[in-house]
Amino acid sequence: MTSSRREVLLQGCIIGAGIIAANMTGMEALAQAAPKLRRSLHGMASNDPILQTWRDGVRLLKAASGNVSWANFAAIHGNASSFNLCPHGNWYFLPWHRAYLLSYERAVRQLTGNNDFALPYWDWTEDRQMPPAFVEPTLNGQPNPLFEPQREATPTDSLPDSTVGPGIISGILAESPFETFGTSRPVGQNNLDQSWINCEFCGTSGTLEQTPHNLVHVFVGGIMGQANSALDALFMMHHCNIDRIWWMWTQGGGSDSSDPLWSGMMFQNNFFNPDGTPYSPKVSDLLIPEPLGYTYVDTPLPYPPTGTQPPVVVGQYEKFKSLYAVSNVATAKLSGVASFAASVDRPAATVAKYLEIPVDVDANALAPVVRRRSPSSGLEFLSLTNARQQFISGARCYAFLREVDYAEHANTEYRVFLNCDYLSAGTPTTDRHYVGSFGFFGPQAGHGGHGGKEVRKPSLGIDLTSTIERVYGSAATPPGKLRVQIQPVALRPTGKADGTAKPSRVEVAIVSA
Amino acid sequence: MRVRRLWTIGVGCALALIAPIATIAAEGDQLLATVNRPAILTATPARAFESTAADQPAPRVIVHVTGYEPPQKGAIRGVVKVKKPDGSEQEIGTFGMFPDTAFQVDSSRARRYSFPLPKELATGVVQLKVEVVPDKAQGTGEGAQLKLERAEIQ
Repeated sequence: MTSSRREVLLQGCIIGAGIIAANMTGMEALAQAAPKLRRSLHGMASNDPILQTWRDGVRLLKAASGNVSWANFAAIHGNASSFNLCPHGNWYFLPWHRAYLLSYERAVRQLTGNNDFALPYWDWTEDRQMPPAFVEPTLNGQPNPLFEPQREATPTDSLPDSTVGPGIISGILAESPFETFGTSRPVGQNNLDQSWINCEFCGTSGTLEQTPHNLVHVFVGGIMGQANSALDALFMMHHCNIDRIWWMWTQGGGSDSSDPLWSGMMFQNNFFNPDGTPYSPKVSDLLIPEPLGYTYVDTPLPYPPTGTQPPVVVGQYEKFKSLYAVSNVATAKLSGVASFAASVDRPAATVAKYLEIPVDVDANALAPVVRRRSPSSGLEFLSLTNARQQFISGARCYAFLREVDYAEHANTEYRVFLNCDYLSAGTPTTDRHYVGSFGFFGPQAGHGGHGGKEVRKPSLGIDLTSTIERVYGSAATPPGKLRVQIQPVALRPTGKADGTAKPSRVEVAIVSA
Repeated sequence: MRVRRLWTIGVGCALALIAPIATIAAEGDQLLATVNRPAILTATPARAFESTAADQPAPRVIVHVTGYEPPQKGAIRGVVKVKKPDGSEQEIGTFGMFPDTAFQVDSSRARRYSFPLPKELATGVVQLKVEVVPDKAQGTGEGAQLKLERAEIQ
């Protein structure tokens, strides 16, 4: 039996954990026993223990003074006018920030007593707007420690594809060697003097640092756009995603630099342990997350992919197939499917006025959809099979737009949103309420097509799952009504867009796990 | 008559002096990007490209930035485009300035940002356009400036 590179890597993690633990303090060694899962904020409930612990930890750190305190930790990164110890624009950017995040993670575990805590990450490719838990000034009548009043981004502002889109991430994950991916060495570096660490902008930035890293900082704005950005509690969730992308890059076969000028550098007295003593890791100590007490996967990804699908996945496939085999899911009484429907009696959607179709649903049936965990962005680049299996596992929710009557559809994109209270033709596809788009080509439905035969009105199936997770994951209760919204927009901004669309009926199907 | 001759000589000398200065200023202006005006610069290969074989590391454009002025409101991003032989443009990357604060440095301290250059375009000198693009949700980008020093292909 041969081992794949990934299996070797994962085995290496476990072996490495044992070796490194022998040289650690009791608390740190304990942490190695079971690396804690860093989870995505995508759909994370407001009362999730991870968010509650982070809120408590931030509050306690803000109230503290001395080495282990919010103000002191932030000052390690920088102050209002300049960076302090943190490297930017040089090749220590990634390992330094990994150690910096560890300081927070370990301090919060210690302060809150929650040893299961691991920092959550903001997967901004999946969720383009700021995470809901960070935008409310108050929570249960008390000040929200995760809220920062100086931010410039509003809760409805969205990061664009050019900054964090899947195309950018796939390009980053394909980069090689390390100095292209993770920013290059300072020009002229020939020794391990500490001054090379924060030799700011002495190397050439790679895409990861200069594009999503920099631009998410300035998108959020306020303190987050400045050198003292670590005063904003969203900083750690942003950097955690940067750290996750580094992890994905190595999992996908990327090789960290073997140059001892990189791996041999010690961040001398840059950080603090939870007890206030200095924490001075070398870069070589920081290459694999698991020995450091955290991980980004709860179960190792199967690699190479297995030929047969797990029974649970096969079962879900069968349910999905049955959805598409019937002409009305609401009347078909399919096993494991809760279905709901509404007929459409409102005017057709136009650019000027969207069409909204409210469908009453059972909030209890929707709850598993709201609480499910979708795979984070980028995992598909590691194992498409695994990403697909994760994607279809668990409860899902679909909408079927039946017999769509459309007209004047040239240059018209039909965007579907869900429960958006401020929808207009200007609402971007990066909005959290966006579901997907569809379009038509050829002759208009109901009119002559090839050979003069009447063109049937099309029916469309759309997956609402990810949008429901994103919009309602942080809410206390699932919604009892899904408002499916169709908003036509011009494909080419300069062209005429007179497209209309109106389904005769909308069915909602909730597929149980 | 003599006065007119002296005037003519004087004006001629002045024009002779001003012309090169104006040329330099024009080139300098092209290296300053604002929302309404992109910077135009030429990137030259730092090394010769021996082939475009698949096993060669992908060439990258390095853009040297020596100055930045943030917008009065909101945020901006720099967008780098390459002019293709057929005259069309291809975007090769986007970058942001963090921290979002003004700076001016000399060329030895220029901040360097790198972008993958499609191999088919890495045949020699390439013309680059660097645009300042505002985040429209947060502002117009007014007041933002990016001062570029040079670009190279590695």
